[in-house]
Amino acid sequence: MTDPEQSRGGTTPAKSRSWIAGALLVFVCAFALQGVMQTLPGLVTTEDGSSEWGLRSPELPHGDTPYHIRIAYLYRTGEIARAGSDFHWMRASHWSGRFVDKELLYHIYLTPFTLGASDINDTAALTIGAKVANCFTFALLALCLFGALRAMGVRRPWLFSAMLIVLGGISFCTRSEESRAWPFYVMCTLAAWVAMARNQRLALLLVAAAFTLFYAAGHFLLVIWGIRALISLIAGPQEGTTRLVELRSLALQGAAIVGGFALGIVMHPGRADFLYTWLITYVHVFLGILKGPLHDFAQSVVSGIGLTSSYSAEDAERLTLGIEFQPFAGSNLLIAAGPAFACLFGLSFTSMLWRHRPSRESVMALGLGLLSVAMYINSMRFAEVMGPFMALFCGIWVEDFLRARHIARGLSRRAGLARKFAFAAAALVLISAAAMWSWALAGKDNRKPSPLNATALWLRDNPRTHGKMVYHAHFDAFPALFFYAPQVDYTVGMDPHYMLAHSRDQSNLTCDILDNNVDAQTVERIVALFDCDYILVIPAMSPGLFQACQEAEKAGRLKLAFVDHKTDMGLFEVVRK
Amino acid sequence: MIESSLDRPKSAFREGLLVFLFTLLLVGLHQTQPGMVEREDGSRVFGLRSRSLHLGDSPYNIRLAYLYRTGDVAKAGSHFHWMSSSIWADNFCDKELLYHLYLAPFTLGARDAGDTSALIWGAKLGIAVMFAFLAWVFWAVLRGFGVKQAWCYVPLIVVMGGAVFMSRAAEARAWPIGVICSLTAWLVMARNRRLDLLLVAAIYTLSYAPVHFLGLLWLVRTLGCLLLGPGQTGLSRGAELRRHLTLLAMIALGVVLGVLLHPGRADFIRLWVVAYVMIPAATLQGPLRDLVFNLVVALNFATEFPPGEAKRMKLGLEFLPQAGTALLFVGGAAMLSPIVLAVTSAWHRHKPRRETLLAMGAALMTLVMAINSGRFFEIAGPFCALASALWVQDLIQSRRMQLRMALRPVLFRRLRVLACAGVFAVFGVLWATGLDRYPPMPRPWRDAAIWLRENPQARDKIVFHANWDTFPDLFFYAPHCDYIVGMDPTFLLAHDVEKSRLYWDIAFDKVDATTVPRIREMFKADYILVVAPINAGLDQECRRLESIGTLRRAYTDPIFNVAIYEFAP
Repeated sequence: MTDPEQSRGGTTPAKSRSWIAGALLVFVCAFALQGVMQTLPGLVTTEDGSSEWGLRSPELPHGDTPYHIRIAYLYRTGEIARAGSDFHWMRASHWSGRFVDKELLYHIYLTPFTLGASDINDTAALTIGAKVANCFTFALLALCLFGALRAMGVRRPWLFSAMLIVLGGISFCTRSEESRAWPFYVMCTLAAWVAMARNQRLALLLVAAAFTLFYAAGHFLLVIWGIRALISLIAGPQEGTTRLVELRSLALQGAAIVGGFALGIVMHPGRADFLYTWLITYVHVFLGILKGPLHDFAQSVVSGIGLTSSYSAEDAERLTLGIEFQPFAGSNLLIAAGPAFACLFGLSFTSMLWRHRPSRESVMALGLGLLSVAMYINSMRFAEVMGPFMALFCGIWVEDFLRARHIARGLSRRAGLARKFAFAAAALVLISAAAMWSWALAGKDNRKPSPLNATALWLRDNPRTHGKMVYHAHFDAFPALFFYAPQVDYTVGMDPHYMLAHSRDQSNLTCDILDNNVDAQTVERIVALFDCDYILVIPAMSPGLFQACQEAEKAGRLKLAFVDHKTDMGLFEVVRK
Repeated sequence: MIESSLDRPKSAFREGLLVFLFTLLLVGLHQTQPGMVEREDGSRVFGLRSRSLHLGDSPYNIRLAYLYRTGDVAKAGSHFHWMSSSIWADNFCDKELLYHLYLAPFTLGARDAGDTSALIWGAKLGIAVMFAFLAWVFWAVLRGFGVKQAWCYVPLIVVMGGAVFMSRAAEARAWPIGVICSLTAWLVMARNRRLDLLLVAAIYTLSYAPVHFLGLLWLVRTLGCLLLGPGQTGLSRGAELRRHLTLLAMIALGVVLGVLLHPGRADFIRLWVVAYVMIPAATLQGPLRDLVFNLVVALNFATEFPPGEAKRMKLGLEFLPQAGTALLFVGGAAMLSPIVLAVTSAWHRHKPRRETLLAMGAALMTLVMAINSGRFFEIAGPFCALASALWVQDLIQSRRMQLRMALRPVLFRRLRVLACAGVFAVFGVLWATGLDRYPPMPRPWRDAAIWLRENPQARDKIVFHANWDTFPDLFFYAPHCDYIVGMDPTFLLAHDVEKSRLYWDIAFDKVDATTVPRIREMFKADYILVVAPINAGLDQECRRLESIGTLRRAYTDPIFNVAIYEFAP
């Protein structure tokens, strides 16, 4: 592997042109691939039964996408600035009094993509804006990986950029479809990795600050710094340095990350409550996804250092987190993480068999790859880090392997065979990437809007409801409601922990409702605890609440305001006496 | 102290004996859990906290061993009437024959069929001896491969197998014999001892029917040898392939010999297909499962095997895979060790010997099996430990490493002690975690089973039970009665699809007025055992029929809400 320092300078104009061409190729291909994912061109059946060529995906994917594009729009119109720390759209969450946008820069990045919206109700323009933004984001991510690979001295980085899809697997492809802030933290992490490899502390500080503003989980940089530090200490000092010098350098890098994190917080408009939001989002939610003895251990550590004083572990265990936090298991895991496992085992065994001693940078990249696979095993959402980091690992390791003197000598002796082998490997990567992407596309069909669409539109088009509060038991109903009807306030969204952090009673009542532990007092308790004006009921998911609302309606305490006959969802209005 | 013991020469006999006795002691402690026991008057005395068997198949295995001793199993022949609605009812073939014969001496303490206390203690002792033997065989195999201080690596079995291995090790099951035979077969294949391999395969077949695992091990070795080349054996690739084909023939002959020696030889293949093709297929998903089922039906190994019915069945928890942090926690060491060892070797420019790489191949195969289904940590533990031990030994013995060690002897000695202490510490934590758990308690239906045993009227009658996994306890406490199905619900499905359909309807609370008459008609049941917290629908229906006089409540356990209903004459 070339020294990153060397790879920076001394490039000829021809090399420079090929670099730009490679970057352009990666950007355009990634944009086009995501464009296909976002629009799903294909045969569409029209109302008269005939088929014609069209876009099969006119709607946004389910998940948090509607929330992000809507909040970007509200940034544009100044609503968020007016709301300040009172994010009233989620009244029963800690955001209602202590709002800190944990993805501030991402939402600002999305803002130009909302310019097509003529007014607050122009959701079609926002949908198109979100889709275009997603294509840009994905292309930027691929470009960033390309840049990181090149900066680490990897030749043909475009090929390893394609491995992003192969190694991330089906989960990565699916997650890339949504408008979320994670690509930016991945980009920041890749940039930080390069900055650490080059020991560029100022760049690292700036990257850490940008990370914090894009995605509050700035501590992740410390985790990857920890990996580098640990491997540096085990592998011993580099030639020409001492362990002490290296330790000092590592300590300064750690300080740069902490400084960048602090800078990011200081620059954040919600700096006063930043740490509180960080604690809820990255300690409490994280605890919720752990299982078995590790969960108990982490819980006791967190309690021991007093981070959960206002938080009940028993109550937290009742919460059902998003599907993204579920892990893959069994044969599903073997298939989804198969390419990553194969690369980890295959590359390390190949080096060993060919007596190639990997460089320190390669071993550090292996550490990063292992971390990303462990994160993925724990929670499938982390395919988002497994894809890029494993691609970076593969690029660095393969380059290192090919540059080993005895390997390079062997390859030059059998140049013809080596070239054929390289072509075969490249073809395998590209075909696998195409197959993986096609597989992800095959399962997609976003022709129908969210099931909450009709209910939310009724709220939006009914001026009486504006400024009122709607109770909904399912936290994941929030993005769609907020997207279609931001004139109304809701209970909680994004994560149920936000409600628990706000009010234990509200959280427990909602958990009871979701568990169908509903009695005659439930409706009154909802009204009293949440001070709501409407109750949204999804009978298929909370039949107990539906029954209780029907009884309250008979008793005259509620009034059925709206029913969506397609989905059976209903809105009951609270009768105030 | 560890340092000095590492270097002290020891005789193989003493070392082997120590491994055996030490494991016996540790497993014995695990089985008995000595500690403070609370007496009825609230005072606490030192005693044994674990007085029951762990949840699972242990009661079935020890009871069957007792029935072998008394000759009841021989009398029953191929008609295993205790599971009246399973393929065992007419085509019984004990798939763990030698294991049950091994357990038989441990039942000698039991005065009669009702002396379940003696059987429990016998089973506990049987488990401890079996695991001591497993540890000893592992140690012996390591020595067979030339590993020095082999005893140091024995705790790696638990470190690699994790908490799942520990919990599986608490039960009286035949799989340790499978592991013992697999490890022995691996050594025998490495030494190309054909006759030994034949004998091991035959013993494997008689002790634990999934002998096809030997075929998988053979495949890993053969592919590995062909990929890695002849190495220092001096054989050509063709000659090596011939040698491997001969080994495969020995395995096949061993299996045939095992089947021929088995008293249930006529039904062996059919049982093997149901237990080791259909049950694993039921753990698969999608079209692959349908394909396997259709193949089994086409080959006439089961009357019918509709995938729809098979999908409804709830198999044992052991088949579920470990997921998320649980997988990282349980399988972390096993998953990390191949990568860490390979990178360490690459770092030191060490190329392991062929035998080490082949063992790692086998370890990776078992690891894939364990990721797919949690129970296979029972085999991944020993094989990952074997591969790691061979690798470490290989690395230490490499010339480059020897040079480094000679240059910095103190550092490397400390590293050895540290590594040894680390392995023992992790082993200690896992062992202590198992010890610290709540001791096993009798199951809620124990008293109902004892009532059946004590009631002469119930003798030789058929008891319907809607949960297949209650069978081991019922059979253990009351072997005088017959039941429906146990061990796995696939045995019922392979026997009769209609019965299976009714059975799962009841399990999923799809109960109506025709259910109980159909139980009577199809299963020829005389009694119905109802565990109300599990079978709410059946409980409600039985109560209704009791109120109109169709059923008579013969036994009630108000604490656990268990009842036995008798059909009115």
